[in-house]
Amino acid sequence: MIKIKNLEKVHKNGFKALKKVNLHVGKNEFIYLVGPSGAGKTTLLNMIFKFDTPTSGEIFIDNCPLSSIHDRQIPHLRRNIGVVFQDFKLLPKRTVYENIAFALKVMHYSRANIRRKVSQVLDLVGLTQKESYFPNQLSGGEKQRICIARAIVNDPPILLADEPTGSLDPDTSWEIMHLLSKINARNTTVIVATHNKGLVDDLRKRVVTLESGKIIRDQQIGFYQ
Amino acid sequence: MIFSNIKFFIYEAIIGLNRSRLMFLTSIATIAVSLTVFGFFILVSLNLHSISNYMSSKFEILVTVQENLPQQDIKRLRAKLSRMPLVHSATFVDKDKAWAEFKKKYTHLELANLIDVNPLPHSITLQVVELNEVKGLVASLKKETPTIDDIIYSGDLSEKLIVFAKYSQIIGLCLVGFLLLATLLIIINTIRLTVLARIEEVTIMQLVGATNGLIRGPFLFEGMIIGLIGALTANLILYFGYQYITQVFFEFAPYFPIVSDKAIVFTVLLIVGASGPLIGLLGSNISISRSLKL
Repeated sequence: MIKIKNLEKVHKNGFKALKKVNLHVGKNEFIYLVGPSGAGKTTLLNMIFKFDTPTSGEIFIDNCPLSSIHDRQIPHLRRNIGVVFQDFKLLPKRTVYENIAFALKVMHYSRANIRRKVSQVLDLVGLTQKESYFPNQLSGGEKQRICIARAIVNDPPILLADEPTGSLDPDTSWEIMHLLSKINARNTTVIVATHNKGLVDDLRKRVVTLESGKIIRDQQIGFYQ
Repeated sequence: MIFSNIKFFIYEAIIGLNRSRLMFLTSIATIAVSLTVFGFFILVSLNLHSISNYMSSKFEILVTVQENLPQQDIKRLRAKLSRMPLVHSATFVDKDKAWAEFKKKYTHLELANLIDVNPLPHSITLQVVELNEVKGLVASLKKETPTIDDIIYSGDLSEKLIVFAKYSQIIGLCLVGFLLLATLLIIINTIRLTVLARIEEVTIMQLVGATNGLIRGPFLFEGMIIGLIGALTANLILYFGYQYITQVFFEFAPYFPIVSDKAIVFTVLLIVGASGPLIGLLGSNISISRSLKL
């Protein structure tokens, strides 16, 4: 599904964020991308959905090299990749329903389809009762569920989550991880960048460890070491 | 899809404008003032042009003949005047006909009720070949033709007005250009502020796969809406303001050639009305391109 070859990123100030990264992610896989802050996890995720460009190397999604994608085609790529952020990135002056529907609106879904899909995804994340709430009326965990709902509402084949439990308490973090596992079980490839040791060790999935821009470990059923 | 896009743009634009109401109202007020001044200068320019035309077409020397001068002598005098090298044409104006026309033209003055007898003399109107030669022509008329009672002409004033009108039009055009530029800058700045205020929203739109066109659309509509409302406000001020001004002129200076043709005034309002949304569109387009690098 995702193939990364010799990926390098050197920032303008000369800092090497990624050094010769090679990775292969199969269809419907669940991967934990772990490592300390500044290891290059976010940079790598940003490159997968073309929010950042590599200095050298290539990323292939379904054998399509991302470097061949024209600027005008980037939105279409992003519609196939859901993204979840640590800071949720919800629109504060829109309700839960509007925040999720917004993603479908930009894809020209009909009003009836938007209503149906938003209801389904709210049911999946367990927040059907809160569709008319505004983000500031929700807890951190609920906000993250909405962020996940928005990311998967159009059933993208790939879901990237960058520190989705970074600002949540342990119990809520567990709920979020179970939700991501549930989404993975619905045939979605999931990559989660995290440094939450407890969750990684308990859920026993594939773990890719990054350190100073390099992959130093890749275990099929791994631990956070 | 185009229809759903437009619906999306309008909906998002209204949401955006509603969120920054104060900035929205300030922008409309500023644009309304700019476009009012813009429209006002077009009207002033048109009136100066009208005065200039009026002066040129009416630049005549009116020669009144001595009272009781026989018709034969008047005919001879007209023939003599028309042969003069600086005279383009000489037309006899019968005093009864002139009085009837005068009364017809200024009906609202109700002259017929005020004056019983015709106060006008027989006259000959001369159209001159060259405006600059008027003074010389008048001097030679006074010398050579004793049967002339009086010579009436606007002399220096007309020449000065024509020059004034010409320069005023140039200055007016420069001011109009300057005002349009100022209006454009106001819109660029307003949209820039709304873009910066919603930069996070734009990022989210990009992340969920919105195309650049879809991101730009609401901002372009916001610019157009601001421009349109500003232009409509300016048009209301211009329409009622100009109506009042023409009314005042008709009452107190009926001879003044003020432009009152409804078709011309509506054309000016149409230009102002169209300028608002067009400048809004252009301004927001420049602003988005600069702020978002889209």
